[in-house]
Amino acid sequence: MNTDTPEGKPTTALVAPDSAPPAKAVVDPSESRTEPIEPNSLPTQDVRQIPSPAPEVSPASPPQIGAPAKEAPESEPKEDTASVVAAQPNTEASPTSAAITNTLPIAPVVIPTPPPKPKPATWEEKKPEEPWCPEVLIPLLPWAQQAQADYEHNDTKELRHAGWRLVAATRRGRMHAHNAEHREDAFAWEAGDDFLVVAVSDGAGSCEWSRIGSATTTREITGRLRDWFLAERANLAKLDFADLKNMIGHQMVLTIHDIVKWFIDELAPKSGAKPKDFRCTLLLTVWCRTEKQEVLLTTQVGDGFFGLLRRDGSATRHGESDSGEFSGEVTSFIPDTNAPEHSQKAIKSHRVADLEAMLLCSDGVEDPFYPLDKNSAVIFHELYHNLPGAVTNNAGVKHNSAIGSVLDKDGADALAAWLGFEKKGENDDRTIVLLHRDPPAPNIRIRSAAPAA
Amino acid sequence: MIRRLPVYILADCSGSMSGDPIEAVKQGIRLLHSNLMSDPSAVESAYLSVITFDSSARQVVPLTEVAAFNPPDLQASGTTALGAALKLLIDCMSTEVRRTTGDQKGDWKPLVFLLTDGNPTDSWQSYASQIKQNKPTPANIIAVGCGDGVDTSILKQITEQVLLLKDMSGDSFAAFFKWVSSTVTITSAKCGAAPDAAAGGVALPPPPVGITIVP
Repeated sequence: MNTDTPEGKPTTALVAPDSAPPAKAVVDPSESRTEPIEPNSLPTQDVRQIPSPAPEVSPASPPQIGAPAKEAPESEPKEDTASVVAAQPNTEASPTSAAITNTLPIAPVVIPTPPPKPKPATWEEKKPEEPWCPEVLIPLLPWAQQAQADYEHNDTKELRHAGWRLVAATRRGRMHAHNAEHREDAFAWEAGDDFLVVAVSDGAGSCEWSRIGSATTTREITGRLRDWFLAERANLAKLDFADLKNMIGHQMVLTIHDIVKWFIDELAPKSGAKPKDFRCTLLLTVWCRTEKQEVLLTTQVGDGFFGLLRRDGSATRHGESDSGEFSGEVTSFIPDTNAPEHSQKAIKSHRVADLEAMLLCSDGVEDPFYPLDKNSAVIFHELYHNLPGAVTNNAGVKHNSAIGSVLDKDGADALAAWLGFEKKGENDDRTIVLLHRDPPAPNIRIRSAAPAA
Repeated sequence: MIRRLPVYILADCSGSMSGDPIEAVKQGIRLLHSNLMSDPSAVESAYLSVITFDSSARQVVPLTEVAAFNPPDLQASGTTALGAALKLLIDCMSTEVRRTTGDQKGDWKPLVFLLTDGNPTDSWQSYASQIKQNKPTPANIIAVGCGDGVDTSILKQITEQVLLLKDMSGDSFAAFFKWVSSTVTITSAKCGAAPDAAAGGVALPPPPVGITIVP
């Protein structure tokens, strides 16, 4: 269904009625592939004399039985496993010949049957064998043992604070579950009297300890910025808007720089790992309110996105999706040396007065809902207005059952249920953090909007 | 639209492949299909196409999802029109592989396995050069020469990733196609970013005994 709504025209029709999921290609089980029973045509050039022993075929190939009636030359391998019907005169005739008296020996008949079609595998959920935190890292990460004890494949959290509410869910993807691997997405937040720091990180697939990277990054970034806010409180209170914004933005980049440096100079060498073994993305949001000012800043390294819902109901994304022409070509990760520079370029200040809610999502949510400038509205609508039943929405994402209110107390469970959506080929870890005004705007009519200039 | 991992097999069906080698290649493609069917990630994302070349080239199986793929029958005869095969590959990828646009996520970068036992008999250099320069569709190309008659320096002009299959026995081909399966499943398992994508290469699993990497 086309979700394009003209600018300024509110619509509630963002959710398609319960529609059938796209039909899977059906493999006709009765279709058979018979091998041609004819001699190979002789090569006209490049003739190479290849001695022809019995061809190497799968172990189940039937033994050669004398005088087969089949005309095929020797080079036609019997890869079909159940093809030889009879080795001797067959008194057990085929059903159709029941009425025929067998007075003559029947030559064995080899009926080439196609090999059985393999059945497509289904997803399994397996427990990882490796501990969440590798032995060698435990002495270097004092919090790791507790984090390991607390680790769950699927996790939720919520917080009401200073006129905002945060609700988050993270979920191990089917891919990792099937391969008996840990979730590599992580999130964390810290809250003080007048500030919130929220981070989401996605460990890069194929980087061995990226789950440690993402857990460490989110924990350290939020922790260090929290400490900085607590220490700088008096100074920040004096600043005007521009200075406050610049100071916080600068500190965000500096903190990223410090963490990159720590991975490279401390954690990697002391554990014998390479920095790239910890590679992960980062989405970072900082909100701060002083007596006179209110500031909201975001920055990112790698993919994932920020969704923005304005008080007028318009919804869009912020942030350029960091991927190339083909899926999966991210240009920077923590702790690459270019990460601080990337985060500097990506810093953005948002008008808090206009803002109703913000989403921070890893690419496990970004990709199924792509493009997010259009489909952020679909997500916000589903979170703000519940799902009455199973539905496939305008982004082609399928929810299997009704979902309760995310905005109420214990809405984290509803958010976790929302995160269980289905879309073919989308099997990555998923993380979503919703930051919204508390109380949320009642009856907000949500529509897609072009990004603000 | 789902994001797919396109996989192209380019199989040399020239006369010198006739007999055991072509049968082994046929069997190998069956094995590849079967292995991919046992991996749910490949079932969802991998799409297979087979291009054969002898005196000319043809796409015997267009890009097809794993569950609907039928391993093709192959016959061997004729010369080695590698140039025609490369040109056909370029055309097929242009038509079949989806790029990321404002509206949809593109396919993963295609994987191409080129298998040949001899040297090209047609004009191939300009197509090889295009492919080497990632034009118009960047792809991860792995060229595999088999037997004694192949000139790997030619393959090196198509891609940096060149392997050599020393003997053409059924076991050799079976091991090769098993390795192809691993490469596809590992690639399709990279649901996040592939950090080495920028470097151009795909992380190949180590080749089995009997297959050597040509430096």
